[in-house]
Amino acid sequence: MTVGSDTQLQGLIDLAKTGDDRAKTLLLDHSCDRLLKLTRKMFRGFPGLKRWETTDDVFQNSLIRLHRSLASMQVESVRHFFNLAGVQIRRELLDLKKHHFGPEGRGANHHTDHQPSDELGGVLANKADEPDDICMWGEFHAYVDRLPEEQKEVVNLLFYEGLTQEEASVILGVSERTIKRRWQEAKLKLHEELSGGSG
Amino acid sequence: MDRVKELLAELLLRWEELYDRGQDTSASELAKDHPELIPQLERRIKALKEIAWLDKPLDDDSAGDEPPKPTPVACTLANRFQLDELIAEGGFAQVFRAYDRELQRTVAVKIPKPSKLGSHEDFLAEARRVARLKHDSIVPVHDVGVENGTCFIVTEYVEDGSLADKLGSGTVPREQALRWVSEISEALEYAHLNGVIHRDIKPANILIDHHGRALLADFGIAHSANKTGSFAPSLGTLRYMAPEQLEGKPSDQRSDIYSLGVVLYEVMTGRIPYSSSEPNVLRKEIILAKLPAWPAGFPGDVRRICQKALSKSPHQRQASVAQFAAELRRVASSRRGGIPWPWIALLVALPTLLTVAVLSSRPPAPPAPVVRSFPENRPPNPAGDFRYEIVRDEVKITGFAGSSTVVKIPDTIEARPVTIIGQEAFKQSKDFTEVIVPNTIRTIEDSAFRDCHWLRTFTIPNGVTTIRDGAFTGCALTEIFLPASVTHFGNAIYACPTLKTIGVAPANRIFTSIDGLLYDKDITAILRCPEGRSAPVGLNSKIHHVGRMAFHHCLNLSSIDLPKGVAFIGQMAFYRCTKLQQIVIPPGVKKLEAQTFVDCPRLERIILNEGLEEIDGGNFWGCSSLQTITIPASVKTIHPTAFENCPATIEYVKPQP
Repeated sequence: MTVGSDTQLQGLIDLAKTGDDRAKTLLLDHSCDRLLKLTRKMFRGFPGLKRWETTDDVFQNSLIRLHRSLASMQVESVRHFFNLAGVQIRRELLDLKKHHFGPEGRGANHHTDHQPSDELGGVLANKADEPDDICMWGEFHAYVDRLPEEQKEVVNLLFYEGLTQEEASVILGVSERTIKRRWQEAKLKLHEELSGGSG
Repeated sequence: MDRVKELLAELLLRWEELYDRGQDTSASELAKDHPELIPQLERRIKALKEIAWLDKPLDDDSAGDEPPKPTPVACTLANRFQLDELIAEGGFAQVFRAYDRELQRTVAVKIPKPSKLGSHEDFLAEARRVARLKHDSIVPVHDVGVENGTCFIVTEYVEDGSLADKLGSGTVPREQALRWVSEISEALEYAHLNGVIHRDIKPANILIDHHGRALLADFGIAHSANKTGSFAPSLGTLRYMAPEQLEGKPSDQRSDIYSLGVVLYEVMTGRIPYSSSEPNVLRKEIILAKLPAWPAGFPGDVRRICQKALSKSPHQRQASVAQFAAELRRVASSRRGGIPWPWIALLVALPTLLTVAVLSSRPPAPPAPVVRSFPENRPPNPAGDFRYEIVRDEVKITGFAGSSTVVKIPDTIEARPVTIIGQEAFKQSKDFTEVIVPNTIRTIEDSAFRDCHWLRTFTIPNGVTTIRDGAFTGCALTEIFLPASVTHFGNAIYACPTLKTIGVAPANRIFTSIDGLLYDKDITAILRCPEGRSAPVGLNSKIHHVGRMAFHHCLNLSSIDLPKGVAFIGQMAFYRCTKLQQIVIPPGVKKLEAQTFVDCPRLERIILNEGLEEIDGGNFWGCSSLQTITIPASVKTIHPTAFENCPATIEYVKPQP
């Protein structure tokens, strides 16, 4: 998404508020695209999942729910939309993790495909590294959920929605420096959580 | 305590800014005035480095986002280009002065930031395309490559700075600056004729060599970045962007003309037309605001050129940069007796002088190209603006150089019928909105009208049998009707976001598969044409395959008679067909793929025929009007979520003993 397309986005939001179904659908496309990328990233370290279903299939189930939940909400502003979308995307990713690796998840006891993270030897020597399995990603998303609101909002925009800091500053109506600062605070907090509170 | 926290945050921001610029500053250096903070700062810097993966783009698997650091220990790329000094940095890339060990010369190496790139492949393909441009006012590209995940471009090192530097120093005579704009417009004209659009024309990208000539740099690179959809222009770039670029609309060579207009305005007045320091305000100004009053003394003839180039609508600008250049030349001609324009003589003597200049300044450079202004320098052509070739006794259109908004393709040329619209014949950046095709045409080849962003109306005449891949990709068509004669329709309409309607002639008996064709949720109706444009589908009886998402979001679809021969219905085929009321699944279909009827709230009746063996998950989610579903005896597998969130009573037909 470019800065320029923000104008289009606002136009779409205005249309969506008047009840235009197609505008709302278009509005969701951006978030759906991000959800697909995040899903693929999360499953990248777990190719064995394809034994049951492809990443795209997993995505589609999530997509339908994301679509449904966002479609039923009244969108008031760009900021409001991205906040809702960020929360929903994270919820979907957490559900995916639970679905596959919860107590009854199909991957929970499937040793040939899934190695628990503590069996990965040195790969996860530093737990603040990028998660490389679904469990770790699940933890990461849960940590984000617990961030203070201001930081979480910035993580929503920059990480979950893939906006630039400049775009985020326009949407939140704060300076780019404030965005940088909140993003940095969020990263430090997440680092602390991922490395077991040692940070 | 808060004071300490505040200070640490400031120091960390400072560290991050420096780190982004390639300087890994130590905590002790940063906090030399606050030594008590050094241990905490060190821990935080370490943490930020460890979690830097959060800043990487999602689809970038390469390591870090930083180009090689401009450390004293110089980095060498491809075992050849030794980076010496960072000489420029923008939002998109860093530029280093470097030394080419092999040819023993100074070069410039540009290293884009991975986060601004779509993919290495796209970037390299674009860079190679640009490298083929040979023009004396275009900075030559010597090499491109990737090393350890870092893309780089090697170009000539132009030592005398940029037009931005010159304007900044305030020492450029107006005539000199105009000459540079003229040179750059010639370079752009050549590039456009070769199908390359710059998209980032600005004084910083206009370099001045030691002979005082202007050279255009960064060709096409911004375009590669833009493909990712994540290109965030810097304020510096934003000021020169055309309204349509900022609105996310398709841009073409006329966007370059707009930017060139801004440059022209700037060299004439010393300022730019819209100059807010707030990106959001600046964007609105560029899109909506009227041009400010013209400064006193602005020459009327140049103002007219500039005003036209700065039109909000691309249609109102010069139709081509060739026209822009020609208008500037006319201004020059009219002033020969007035203001001294020494560059006119230079232009007249261009071939000879350029050869001399090239020989003296660039030892290994290729011979100076002859820049042809097509179609002016072309021999008389009986087909007018069309290029063509004669294939056996028929004519194939191979190119077009006109500028009218409606293009009428002739039915005969040199007394032979025109039967083929050739590969890429009209590709990219044309001015037309409508093309009239004669009924002599049989074949429309690959990418024939690809990226004709303004093409809205195109009637395929009966007689056309073959339409190949990409024929209409990137066009602004809203509807397309396939006549009975079409027997091959390739993947011709992908990336047509405005296309809403596809019509298939009832008499078309060969168009048997819609797989892939409708993989585009903007399609709202498939119509039998010409009759019943407002009525929904009646599919050709020979269709046997209904592809994945085939009718996804067909909001007008109320009923559909699937031909009996249909043996496959793809996943999400009728997803969110909100008006769909009833459907009969043909007996040849063995499996209802996942989510076939999700969100079809008016679906009241579905008949599943004997022969169906499997019902996959999430099939009837949100089908709130379904009262009863009868499962035929042939069904062997039902996914646990097949009927989730569906109120229907499930009836099961017991198999006969």
